[in-house]
Amino acid sequence: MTDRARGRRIDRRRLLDLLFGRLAALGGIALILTILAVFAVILWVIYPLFLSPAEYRWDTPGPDGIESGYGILPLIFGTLKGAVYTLLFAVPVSVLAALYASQFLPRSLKENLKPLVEIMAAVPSVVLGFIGGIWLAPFLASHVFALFLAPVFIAGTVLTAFLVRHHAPVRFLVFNHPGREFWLLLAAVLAGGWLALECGALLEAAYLHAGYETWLEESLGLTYEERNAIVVGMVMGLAVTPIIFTISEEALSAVPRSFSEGSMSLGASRWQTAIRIVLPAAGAGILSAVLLGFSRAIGETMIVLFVSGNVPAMDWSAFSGFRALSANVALELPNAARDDSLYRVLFFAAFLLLVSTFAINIVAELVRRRLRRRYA
Amino acid sequence: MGSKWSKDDALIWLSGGGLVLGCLMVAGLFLVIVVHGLDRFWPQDLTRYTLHDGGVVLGHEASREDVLTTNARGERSVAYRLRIRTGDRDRYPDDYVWLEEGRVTWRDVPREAVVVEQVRGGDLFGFLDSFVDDGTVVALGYDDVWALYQEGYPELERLRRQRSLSIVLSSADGRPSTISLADVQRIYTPNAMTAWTRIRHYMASAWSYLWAPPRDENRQGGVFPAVFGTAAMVILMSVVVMPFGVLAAFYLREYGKPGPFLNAVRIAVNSLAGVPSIVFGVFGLGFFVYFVGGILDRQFFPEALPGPTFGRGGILWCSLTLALLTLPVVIVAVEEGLAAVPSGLREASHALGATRFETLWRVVVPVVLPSILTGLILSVARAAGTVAPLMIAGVVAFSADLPVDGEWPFVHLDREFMHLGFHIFDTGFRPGEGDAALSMAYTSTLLLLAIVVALNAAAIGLRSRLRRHYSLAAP
Repeated sequence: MTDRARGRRIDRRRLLDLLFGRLAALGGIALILTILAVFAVILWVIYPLFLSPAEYRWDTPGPDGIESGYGILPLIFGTLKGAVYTLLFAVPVSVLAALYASQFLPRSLKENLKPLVEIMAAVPSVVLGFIGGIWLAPFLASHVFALFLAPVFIAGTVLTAFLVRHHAPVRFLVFNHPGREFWLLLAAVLAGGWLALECGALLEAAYLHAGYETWLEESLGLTYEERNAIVVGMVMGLAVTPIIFTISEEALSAVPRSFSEGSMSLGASRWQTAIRIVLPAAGAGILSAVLLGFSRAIGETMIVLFVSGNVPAMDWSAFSGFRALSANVALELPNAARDDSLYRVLFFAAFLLLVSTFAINIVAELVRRRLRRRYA
Repeated sequence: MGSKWSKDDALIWLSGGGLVLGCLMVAGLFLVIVVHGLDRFWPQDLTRYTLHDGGVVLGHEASREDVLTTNARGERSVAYRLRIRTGDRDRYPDDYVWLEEGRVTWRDVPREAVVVEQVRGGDLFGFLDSFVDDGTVVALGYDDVWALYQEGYPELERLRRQRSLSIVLSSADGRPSTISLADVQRIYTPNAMTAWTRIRHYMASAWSYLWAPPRDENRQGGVFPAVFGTAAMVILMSVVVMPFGVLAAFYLREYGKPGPFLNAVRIAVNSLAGVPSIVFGVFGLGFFVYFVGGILDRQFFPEALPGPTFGRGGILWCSLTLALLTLPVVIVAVEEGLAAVPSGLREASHALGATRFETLWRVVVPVVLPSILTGLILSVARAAGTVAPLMIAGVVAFSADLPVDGEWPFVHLDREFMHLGFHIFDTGFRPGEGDAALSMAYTSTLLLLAIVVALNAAAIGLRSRLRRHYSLAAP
């Protein structure tokens, strides 16, 4: 092989390398352009709203354009209400679960938990919404008392199970084996839920002759709608739990072992260590997990569409429904004529969703980075 | 030490309760879907309820609930009422009727009761009365009509097109109705079925659910066009998202030099992952459908204007929208794979004089191939379950045409299409219609969930295999 031929061959190899590098960089540029395009297109559609004050009214006319409809404010309110009830449900469950999984669960079980959580995160939101709206909402409507009894009863049975195990004679200590307590817990939670259902039905039969709806109406002035904020909280909570759980579990596990070892060597118990040392140390990570859950709840569409009832009401009552920005866009945009004012207002709703989730995600990321830097 | 430690452990147990509760709720969710989704095809017995005012209702019990009633003297009592599926939509538009249990004086399960599945419209329950061939009655009574139907009245299939064959069905209270055989999908006698015929019936129904087109506004029939549409869209999407995503991941991990630009790309990936799905739909409508579609129409289909060709929702725009949505999924999966490749491999390849591209192509890509596959599977699973953006960008509840068929140019990118997830929304969310379509929605939910869970399980399996591979390979 002559020198020239070798040189050309090397050149071709270099060229290929260079070209592919440029191509990959182009991929990166395209990514940046994509996210910019999302902003640009939406801004392009909504900017006339700000030019003509007549069209910018914070409200959407109905699809027929005649009735003035409802404003966009109830929709913002609805979105926030849904997200808040979601967090009320999801944060205690997922943070407690993450604390338990990271601090107390044996490693083998923890490995089994991961795919489970992943599958849970993969459940499509249309599935969750459908089951929530069609099955859970009517079920809860006929078991309202059980819903409120359940947390107390489940806590009660879990504690009973604990006491039974703790004071049981040694030969029953099969449950003492690490990991086996999980099954005892499972039985306890099931029993608590079942007891709550039964007692709820009994209570309702015994005290509320006319049904809980009238009772709520008369004594508290609340109307019970079947599709309400509690159901949204539970179902969307289920959708958000994997996110909050995974990130907080990560944060809790990332706390250096020396922290808890130091604490325990000073005489603190396992629980004290977990709550007073590990939890605060991972606080920023958990905060960022909660923020990410919040932003997911704001953008979630199919669940609120099915479960919230889609009535543009403005009250914080747990028993009434609402209409969220996302559900409103999904319901009305297919019928909106292009460049109509309804079309622009719906794009404005999407813009609000985009900007708020964007901002929350950035804050969450910053919080998380700070944590990472601290323990790096 | 005793009491303090026990209080402590009790609190630990309580936190464990949170974990168990979460797991249980997921298990409950799956259980509800499986139970409700599977029972659609099981031939249920038809019961005849005779009421004490002389009325007769034929159907099967859908639910039973207690009603608190207070009589004139203020005494309370619990009564039960039954919700009966009647298969008589002419009289009960909802398909269902409530019966107070106290009104029922007699119930029996008549062997000769039949279910007639119609091509259009819902199921009919009743009794076979006669078989009419061009105006003449050729069979009378259950036994004869059923025998004739079953043995296939001389070449039923061919005849039903030429002559007006019909069946007279009498309802529970004796009202006759004539159904043309051309409108009959299938007739069966649930009450006379043995366990074995029931199982065969179940299998046949499940099979036709998967492969038949929908009937009766999606309440009956199958979901084949929806599954097909989902698959077509997902394939189209993968063609776009895979090269793009893999390239971007290569840039992020292999080619990009640390600096502001790499940071900007990373921020772009993170923000793309955080954009709500509905916003992608809005973007797809504003950009793909109206902007790009409008340009395409003006350039290539001016003869069809003002009617839109690409300037309306369609499968191409939906798949492009979902490609953006699933891009971060692919990037993250491939990046994870790239991160797991031992740097020694790369260094060895460089040391032997290979360029970066050669190293990537010959050494790294073969190793991360399973990760790329994982990314593909996860993005497909994500796309199959996402509905909100599609509602805006061109999915429809019912479409007679498939996006791919035998007609030139075979692949119709501009067509609206059916999607399994949207099928659930359409059948499950019909305010004001009652429950006629719900059992369909449950079954489709089960199907979609099964697909998504299977895909995710495959991805998880692949990934853990990859991980094990490397943990074994490491010294």
